[in-house]
Amino acid sequence: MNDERIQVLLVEDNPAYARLLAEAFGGTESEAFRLTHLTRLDAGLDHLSKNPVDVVLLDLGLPDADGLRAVQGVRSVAPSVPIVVLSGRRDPELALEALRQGAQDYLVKGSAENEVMLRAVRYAMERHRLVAETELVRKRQLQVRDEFFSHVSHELRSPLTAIYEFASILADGIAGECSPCQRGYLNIILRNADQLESMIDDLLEVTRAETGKLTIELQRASLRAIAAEAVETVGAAAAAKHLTLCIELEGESPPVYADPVRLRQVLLNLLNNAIKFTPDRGTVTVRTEMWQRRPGHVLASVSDTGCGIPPDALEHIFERLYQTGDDSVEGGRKGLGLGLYISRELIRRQAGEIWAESQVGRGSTFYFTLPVFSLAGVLSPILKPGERRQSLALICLSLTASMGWRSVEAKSAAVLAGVHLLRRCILPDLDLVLPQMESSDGVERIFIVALAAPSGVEVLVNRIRGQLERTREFKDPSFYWRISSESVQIPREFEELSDTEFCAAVADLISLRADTHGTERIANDQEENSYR
Amino acid sequence: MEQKGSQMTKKKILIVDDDPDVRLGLHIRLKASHYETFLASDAMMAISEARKVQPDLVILDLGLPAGGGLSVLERFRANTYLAATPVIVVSAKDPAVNREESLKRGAKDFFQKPVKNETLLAAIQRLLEGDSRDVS
Repeated sequence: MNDERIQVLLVEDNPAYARLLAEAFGGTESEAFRLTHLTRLDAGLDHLSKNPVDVVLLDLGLPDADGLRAVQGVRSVAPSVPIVVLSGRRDPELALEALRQGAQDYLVKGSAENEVMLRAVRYAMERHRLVAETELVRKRQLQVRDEFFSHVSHELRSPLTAIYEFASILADGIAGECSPCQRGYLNIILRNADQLESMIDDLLEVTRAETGKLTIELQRASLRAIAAEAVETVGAAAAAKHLTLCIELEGESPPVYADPVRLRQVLLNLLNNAIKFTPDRGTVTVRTEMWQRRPGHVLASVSDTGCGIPPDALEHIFERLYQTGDDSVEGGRKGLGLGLYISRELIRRQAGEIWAESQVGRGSTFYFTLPVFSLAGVLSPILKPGERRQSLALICLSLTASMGWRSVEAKSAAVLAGVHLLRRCILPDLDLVLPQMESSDGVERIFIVALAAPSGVEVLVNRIRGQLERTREFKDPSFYWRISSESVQIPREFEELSDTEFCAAVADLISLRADTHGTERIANDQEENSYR
Repeated sequence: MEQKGSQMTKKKILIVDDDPDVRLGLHIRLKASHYETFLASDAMMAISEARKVQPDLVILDLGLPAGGGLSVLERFRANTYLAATPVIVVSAKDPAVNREESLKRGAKDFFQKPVKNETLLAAIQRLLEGDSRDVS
C-alpha cells in the first residue's frame, strides 16, 4: 500500500497533549498526515528503525530519556529524518543546544497552536532537505575542484620534464664541456625542478585527502624497518649540512597495523622538515617505543636541534598552506606548506595521532602514534559470534626474487600486486588478507584467512593460481611465487570461550600455523625446486 | 642490418611524444647513451615510423592528442611484427588507472613524467637485454 501521506512519529508521554496534537494533524481522517504516537523513546527508536518516517516530534521530558539524550538517540538511529523537539519549559539554552544536536526546530508546549505546529513540521522537513542538498552541492564542488587540480597538475608535468631533461643534459656534459661552476648552477635548476615535482604531488594528495580518495592499504608493517629505510633515504641531505642522524629503538617494537608506503611518506616529510630547519652540525633523531599513555599503541618521534617553533605557530603548523614566516631559515619558504597537513590526514586515517612539541632555539619533536597489529582485533569482525566455525582456511602466497629484490619499491610493488590480486579473487567481507612484511629470508609471505570449507579452499587456491599465472607482474622470470594452503581445525575446547577469548585463541592458532607455513614450505621447495 | 667489423649495431628506439621539447630532450639523452633514435609526434606517425624503421624498443607518451596513446598500443598489438616490440609508456597522467590500462594493452613498463634518467635508461637496458617475453 503506497502511502503518500506525511508519516509523523510523535514520541510524547503526556496523553492529553498527544491527543491535542493528533487533532492538530487532522486525526485519523487526515489525507495529508499519518500520525504514529508512542510514549517512550525506546519504542520510538524501534519504530524508526523499522518504518519510514518523514518527521519526528520529540518530547524532551520522556520517562526513559532525559532532555537531549532523546535527540541523540533519534539522530543515531535515523540520521536522515528531521526532528522537531517539544518542551514544556521556556529554555533558550536548551533550544539552541537541541538545534546544534541536530533538531530542526524547537516548540514550547502550550504556545503552539494548530497552525504553528503544522507549519513547524513542514518547515522542519524543508530545512532538512536543504541541508542535504547543500551537502550534495559541496561534494560536487569538491569533485570539480579535484578534477581541476588533477588536470592542472598533469599539464604541469610536461614542461617540468623538458626543464629536467635539458638541465641534466647540460650538467652531464652531453652538449659540450660543462665547467664546475656551470654544473653548480644547473644543479640548482635540477633541485628546484624536484621541488616543483613534490609540490605537484602534494597538491594532488591534498585534493585526494579532501574527496576521501587517499588510498590507504592497512597491513601488518614493521615501523622499525620503515624508519631505518627512511633515515637512509635522507642520509645524503643530512650529510650535506653535516647533521648527525640517529635512530633509537627502545625496547619492544611489535609490528603495527598501518600502510607502509604512507608511513614512509610521513617519516620522510618529518625528516625533511627536521633537516631543513636544523642548522649545520645539528642532530636529528628518530625514536620508536611503546606509548605509555595508551597500551596497544606505538609512539614514534622525529626530534631535531633546530630553531624550534614559537608557541603561537605550533597551533597552526598542521594546517594547509601554513609556512613558517621565518626568512632566516634557508629554504624556509620553499614548498606549498602541505606536508604536515597531508601527514596528519594520513596518520589519522591509520587510527593514529600526530602532534608537535617545541622550544624556540632548542629544537622540535614531532610525535605520532600507530596501533599495534593485533590479529585478534582484525579477525573479530569476521568471526561473528554465534557462528562459531570449526575450521578456517589459511592460504599463503610466497613471493621472492631470484637475484634478490631490486629495491624496496620493487618489493613493495610486488607485495601490493599480490595483495590486490588476492583481494580480487576472494569474496570481500568474508576473507582477510594479511601481508607479512617481516621476512628474514628475502621471501615475502602474504596470508589469507578464509572462511571456507576444506573443498572450498581447493577451489579458491586454484582460482588464485590461475590468476597469478595470467598476471604480468608475476610472469617476470626473475620473480618466484608459490601458493600453499591448509585447513586449520578449531579445537572443540574453544567453544567454551567468550567472544573476545575466542578471537584471541583463534588468532594465536593462526599465527602459529602461519609461522610453520613460513619456514617449513620454503625449505621443501628449495629441495624440490618446485617454484613456479 | 648487421654491420661487419668491431662496431656493435646500435639498438633502435622510437620516441613518441607530442611535446617537441620533451621529444628533443629524450632524443639527445638517448643518442648520448648510444642508441639510434627515431621520432614521432602523434599516433599515425608512430605506426608508420614503427613499420618503416622496425625499432627494438618504443617509448610512448600516453598523452598523445585525441586519445592516441592507448590506441598506439592497441595497433601495435594487432600487428604481428610490432606486437613483439617492447613498449615503455611514459605519461604525465595519474598512474593509478593509467598504469593498469597500459599494461593490459601490452606495455612492458609505465613511468610517470618526469622520469629520472637512471630509471628510464635502466628500464630500456633491461628490456633490450632480456629474453623475449610473452605478450599478454
